[in-house]
Amino acid sequence: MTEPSADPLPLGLAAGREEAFEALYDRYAARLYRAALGMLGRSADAEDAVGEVFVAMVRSREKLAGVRDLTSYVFAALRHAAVRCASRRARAGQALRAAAAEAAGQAKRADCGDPRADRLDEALRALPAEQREVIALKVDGELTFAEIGEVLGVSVNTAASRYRYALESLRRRLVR
Amino acid sequence: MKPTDEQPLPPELAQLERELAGRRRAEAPAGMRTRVLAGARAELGARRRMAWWSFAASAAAAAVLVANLSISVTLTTDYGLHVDGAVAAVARPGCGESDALPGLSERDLERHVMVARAARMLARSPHRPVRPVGGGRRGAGQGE
Repeated sequence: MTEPSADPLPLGLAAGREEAFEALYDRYAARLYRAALGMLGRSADAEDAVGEVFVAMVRSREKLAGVRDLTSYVFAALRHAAVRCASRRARAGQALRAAAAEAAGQAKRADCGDPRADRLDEALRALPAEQREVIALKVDGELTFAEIGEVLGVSVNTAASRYRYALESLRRRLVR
Repeated sequence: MKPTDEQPLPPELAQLERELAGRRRAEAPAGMRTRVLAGARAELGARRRMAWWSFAASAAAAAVLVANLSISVTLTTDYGLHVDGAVAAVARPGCGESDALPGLSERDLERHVMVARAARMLARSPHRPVRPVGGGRRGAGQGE
């Protein structure tokens, strides 16, 4: 993940150019937000996590010049931010209850009269964090298994089998 | 989703994956771009200020070090300027320099002592006779 690439964006980021950070936002923010929402289940937390990714990118921008796979790098930063966010939330029990209430409210608002979609959302929220994470990276983050492997620090095969296992688990919850 | 090199999923899981991909996509909240980029910009500014202060602190530390070394060297170097005792010695009647330079004021005597000391510290260099100008090679037109 840290060999030079032909992509000029990492060089712009490493130089601290503001327009490079704007380009980074335009390239990744929507996918990052959706993946963070899939992992954390709460809009405010997802936005916080995306914001943390950008601050972390500024802080470690000297390293970015040598990054070969910027997508994996950015999503790995998102994963760390999501873990920090989740642990902050876990420490604050009250915030956790508020988050659960908001997530439930969002689910109600997102209800378009499709019971299957509602059940899917509910089953997704009930998945263990590790399985929710791999589905969020694959479906919402639109990453390949190779990229997911880089993000999670596992092999491509492990990433693929973890995703498959998560889908099976989700399916079992849906047919119950 | 991007095409991947994954193994094909069983039909029921592939159907579930299509359902997941076909869900209504959550949009980023309004104003998120501004907030996120403002945070990044603030961090960039803070980093630049920190870099400037770090440079300034390093430069100041280097200047203090150089000044300290310079003062230290100056204080421990003997320039031979303390000639009071020597002047008193040569100003005594019967002393060589006092006799050779009679009637000199103490100030002038002090200068003489300093010059004599400086001359003793000079390193000897080989003497090279200086050729008179034009006394070496003859001009090009002279031999014809």
